[in-house]
Amino acid sequence: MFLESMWVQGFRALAEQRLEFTAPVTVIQGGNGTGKTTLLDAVYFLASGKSFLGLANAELIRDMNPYFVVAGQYRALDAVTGGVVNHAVQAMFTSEGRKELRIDGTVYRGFIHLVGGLRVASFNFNSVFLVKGLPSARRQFINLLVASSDRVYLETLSAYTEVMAHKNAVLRQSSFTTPDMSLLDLFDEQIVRLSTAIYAKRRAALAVIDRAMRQLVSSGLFGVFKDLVIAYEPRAISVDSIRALRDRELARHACLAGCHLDDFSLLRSGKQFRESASLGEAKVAALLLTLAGAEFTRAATGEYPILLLDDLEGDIDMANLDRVLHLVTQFDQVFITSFDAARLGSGLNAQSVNL
Amino acid sequence: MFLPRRFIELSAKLGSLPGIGPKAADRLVFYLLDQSEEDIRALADALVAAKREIHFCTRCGNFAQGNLCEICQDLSRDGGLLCVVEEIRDLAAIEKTGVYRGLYHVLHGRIDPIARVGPEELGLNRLANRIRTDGVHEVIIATNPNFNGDITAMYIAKLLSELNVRVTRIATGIPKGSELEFADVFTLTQALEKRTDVQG
Ligand SMILES: [Zn+2]
Repeated sequence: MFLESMWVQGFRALAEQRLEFTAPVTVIQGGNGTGKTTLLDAVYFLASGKSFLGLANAELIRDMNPYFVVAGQYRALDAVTGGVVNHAVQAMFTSEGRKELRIDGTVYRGFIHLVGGLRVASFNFNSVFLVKGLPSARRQFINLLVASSDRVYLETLSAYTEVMAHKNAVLRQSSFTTPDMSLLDLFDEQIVRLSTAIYAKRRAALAVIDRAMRQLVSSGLFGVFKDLVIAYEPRAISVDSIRALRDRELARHACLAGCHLDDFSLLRSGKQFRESASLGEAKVAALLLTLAGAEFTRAATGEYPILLLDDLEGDIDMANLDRVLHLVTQFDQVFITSFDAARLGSGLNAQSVNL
Repeated sequence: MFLPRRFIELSAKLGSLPGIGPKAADRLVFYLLDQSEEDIRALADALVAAKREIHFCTRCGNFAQGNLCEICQDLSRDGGLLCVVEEIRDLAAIEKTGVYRGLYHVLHGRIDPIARVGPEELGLNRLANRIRTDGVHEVIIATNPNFNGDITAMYIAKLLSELNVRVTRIATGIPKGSELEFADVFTLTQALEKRTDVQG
């Protein structure tokens, strides 16, 4: 997977950038506020249709600009033939809320169609929430990771989202009309069917990530985490177990069971790492999880995702930084911000981008 | 503006019709103003008469000039076979295939709680009653193959599961997420012939 060129216009701090990438490592340099993180976010956007900063599309438009455009050309392995194929994607969002996405010349309405094209593994200042934050941060991580290599998973998730939206509408309207119980039954059946499928895929993916994480640790990276494991035990779900919650769901106007409430956790020596981890430890563990996620992508698709490393130097000690930089050589392409290029040493073929 | 107020008003009215943009609306006004007053009056009368005299068939929901539509009045059609569609335009698409010889039930919508349309608003009990009293032996559900069409089909299948009636759904051929009315005759014919049983 290799991003060959990019065109970014009106995207947060970036007025306009046309960039070409040839070296495996691109070091992005520039002062504060020049948009180093934003450039990584733009690459992430091409892979996910979302900002890793958690901003809505309208908030991504640069002040005074009527729209933003993020476009890129990349090459990737074709899942069917195994050959290398070139792709072109272009996403545009206007201040009136109009979305336009083109993938290899075909027009799509939703940015969700970006998922599964360009693939990234992203470490940024929000990554700490993977360890310390709410379950939603971990769900977002696992969802993008699995959906990027598994179209069925993506479709199952969209179907689930649709069921939830409709069931929530019935639950909300129940305060002024009698809800149709058979319709709620029907939604519950769908929630059970889709959640069960999603749990199975998450379980399989997390097992691979857990194994990859421990392999990375045993190879010498972040040796302090030799007792860190991923625990995943989704709550058993059945039509009966949801029906038992019906009265509470009606009272609270919310779905109280299903894969939208799912979570996985990191255990260190059998205890919840979320609670004991310092901020620094959480960041390092998040980097470990990100790299393990990249191994999952490689196992699933045959190639590494593009690695995005934002502001690495502040959080990682020297010895581990060197190990990370060694690992980085396995990736086809890496973007690093806020980094002293001299540190990379002569072994790495790097190019610099100055913003 | 060089055009008189009446012209602009009429153009705006025509331009609000589906599929007619401002330019096409202007062209229509130019055309209409070229016609004789009698022709215009005949057109206006036809519009008013259509609105006044065309209602929904009291049995199936299709357009009808009396109580019952042409299809319901056609005694050569199989009254034991009922095809459930979302809109009259879907009925029209199926009629175009020429292979279906049963009757219809037009829902005038689909279950969509977000738009506040539930089973009650769709009058699904009316459909169940019709099956009980009209001696229907098979119900073919031809709702659109998208989320709301699927939910509607599943709900109907469940609702009818207690009745002594075979419930099928047209399926294959029509791509997921698309709409029935845009399917070609061949695809729709295939979909009707290869319908599958639905368990409620
Ligand atoms: Zn009729």
